[in-house]
Amino acid sequence: MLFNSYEFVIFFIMVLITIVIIRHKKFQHLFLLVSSYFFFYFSSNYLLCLLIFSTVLDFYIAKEIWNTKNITRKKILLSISLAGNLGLLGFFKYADFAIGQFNILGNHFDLGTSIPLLNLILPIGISFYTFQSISYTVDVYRGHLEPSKSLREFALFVAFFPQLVAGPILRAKDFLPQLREKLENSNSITKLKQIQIHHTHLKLGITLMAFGFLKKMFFADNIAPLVNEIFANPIGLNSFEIWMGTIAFGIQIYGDFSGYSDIAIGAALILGFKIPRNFNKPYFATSPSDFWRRWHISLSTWLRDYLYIPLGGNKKSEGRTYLNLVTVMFLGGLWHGASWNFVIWGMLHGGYLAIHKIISDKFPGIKIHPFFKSRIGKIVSILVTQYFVFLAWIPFRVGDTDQMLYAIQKYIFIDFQMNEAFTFLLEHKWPIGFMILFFILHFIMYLRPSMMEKIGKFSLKWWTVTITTILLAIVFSFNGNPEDFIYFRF
Amino acid sequence: MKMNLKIVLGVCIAFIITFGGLYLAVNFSDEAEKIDDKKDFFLSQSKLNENRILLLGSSHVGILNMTHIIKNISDKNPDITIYNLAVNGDSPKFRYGDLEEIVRLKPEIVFYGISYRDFNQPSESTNSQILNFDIKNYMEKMIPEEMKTINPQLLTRNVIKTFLDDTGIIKKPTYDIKPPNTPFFAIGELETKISDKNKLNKQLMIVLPAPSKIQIDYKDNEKLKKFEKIIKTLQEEEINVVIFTTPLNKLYLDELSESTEKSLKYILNDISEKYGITIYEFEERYSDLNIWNNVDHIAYNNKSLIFSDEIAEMVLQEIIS
Repeated sequence: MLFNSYEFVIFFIMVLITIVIIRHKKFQHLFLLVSSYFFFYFSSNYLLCLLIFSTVLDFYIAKEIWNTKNITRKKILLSISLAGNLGLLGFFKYADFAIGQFNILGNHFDLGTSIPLLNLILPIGISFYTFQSISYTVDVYRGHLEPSKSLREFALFVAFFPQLVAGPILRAKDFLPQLREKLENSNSITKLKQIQIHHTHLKLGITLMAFGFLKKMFFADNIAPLVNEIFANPIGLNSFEIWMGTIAFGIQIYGDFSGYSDIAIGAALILGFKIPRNFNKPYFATSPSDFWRRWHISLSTWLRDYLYIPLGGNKKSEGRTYLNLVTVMFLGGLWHGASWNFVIWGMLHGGYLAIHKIISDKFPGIKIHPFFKSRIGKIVSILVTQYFVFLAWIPFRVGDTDQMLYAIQKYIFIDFQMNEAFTFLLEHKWPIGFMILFFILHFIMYLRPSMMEKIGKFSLKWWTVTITTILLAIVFSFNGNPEDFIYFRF
Repeated sequence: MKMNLKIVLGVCIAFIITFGGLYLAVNFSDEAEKIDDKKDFFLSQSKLNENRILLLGSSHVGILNMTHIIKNISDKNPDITIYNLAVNGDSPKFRYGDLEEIVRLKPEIVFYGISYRDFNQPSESTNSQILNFDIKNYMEKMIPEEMKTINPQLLTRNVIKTFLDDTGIIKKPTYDIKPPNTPFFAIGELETKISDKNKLNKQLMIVLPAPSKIQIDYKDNEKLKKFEKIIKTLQEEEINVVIFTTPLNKLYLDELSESTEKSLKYILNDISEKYGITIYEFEERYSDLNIWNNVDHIAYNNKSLIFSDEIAEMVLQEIIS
């Protein structure tokens, strides 16, 4: 079920009405769980059983890990959980990729390998809910979290519909307490919280959802045709066109994914749940590490806590730190999809982070140099960082190796062929207009970080005017065909 | 609770203003005028008593040179009047809405021009729609059919274009070539130009739906069902039906998947056998010639008359038989 579909609007209104009418706590929680399963079933059908499998596996294993004192047994149980979750993810997401690579390798050595592909359907949201489930078990294993006593409660954490299919990736320690009566009282662990729709949450939640839809349907979907046109086959295009396509894709993917996250956060907030934000004006990042503090925050912090730190983080040798950064980003790239272009994207970011770390370590004076503290210094840092960030978007978008290399070459070695630039701009004035509007909005939001909270506090009259304006913009720029969210593929 | 209700009321007002505005825009725009024109045409025509032949289809049929076709046909059959009822973006699903009016005109023969995109409908086994189950169908049925066909972006773009045109900032493209007996289709200056291969290659990237993405599910295809219903209804009313496939450029044809090509062939053979219909195939006939405006439209140009010539021949042949 797409957020940008009539079905979702009907579904969400039904959920809210039922929650408001029937105020029995147990029913509310159970209803939310059933609704979440229905939401998943609507688009994934029988693949719902994978979600249930992952939930049941981690619920009981985490319980066992908590109860046992034997370290070896704890490790074995954790391994079972990891094998179960990563096995599911690996089988459905990477089996065909592995078979394909094995066949290519076999043929390279004239072994004549031709294992048929399994042609499996990728279960929607599997990358998100397996990571969420793994974080729970690892937190219990580390002793950072007491396991949930109720399967229903844990199942709701894994399946909570607003963020189920494309994140943000939740942490149990942030979400589970929100289901209970009092956070500080450990005795009240089984007491369920009454789900109430509070007016401040309702207003801010609707504002967030409206902005999410604006980012997705107004910006991303209207810029998508330009991206599709350029990257359908970039070979033969000049640097100007490649740059325009790359910038357009950067905006499209940001609008698409952060729009989804805003809708998810807003929908959850209306129901009274706080989900941490997933984006923080990433195109104003001043360094690669700053970018990853602003882009897909729930994934980057997950990778930091459950991969980078266990690998040793920056506590071991310098070389090991750089290797850890590249390894983590390599796996982060692979998480996005079973394809070499995502691996290249991840490796590029790993490289950026490692090089940035080397420069920071070798030349500590740079950080405190007055130039980089000045406004111009900051602008230069932003532009340099974004040059590399946008460069990495090319392999993310273009799967074909020849096309990708051509586009990267044209991006780096600018050919200054500007004779058709004006015609290009005229022919694509509609998406380019949206790109300009996006940068204006992004800049305003950078200058006023709490803009949405402020809109949420507007008087009802002005708030209605704002929501109406957003809705008008969305509806009157909609071309009749709702587009899938890009991150649904991951 | 009171505040919540006020907020909900605010949202309702936002929805009423937005969708009310959309309703007004849709009903009082050029598109609405076109619908009125359509009604007027059918009404005026039903009063006339003439031997009619109708050409149906999308812009692929709209670009036929009707002056040329009318001349070729009336030379040999002065009592027959031929109309080109092509509509931009037509598909059997939309055409089905005009069926009653078409039957009322009592044409001798209906020539229906089709192409791959008319049956573009992927099978349901995609990632996001694995099985078609009842609840999903039920929810989809709750949405009015008209809502699914509205394109508000087009309205907005027209308003912006008109505004920019009025202020003289940008010259709005005009569609002032109105071929005779073609009530629902007009041609702009751009459509008269023959494009070179470079331009065609660029256009291939933006053509919608992209030929490589076209999928035809011949087992459970809503558009095919509607197409068959049109044929069946016309035949029940003793109106002869002839189908022809519209021409496509080689670049377009090369992008189509083998299964898509096979599916259309299968559909056409099946229809031909089931309904005893003659099918004329034009899709590959001019694929290499230098007569194209874009990859799926022949230019409305004197150098591209070959398509109109052969359509006229086809019509004459069917009149004789």
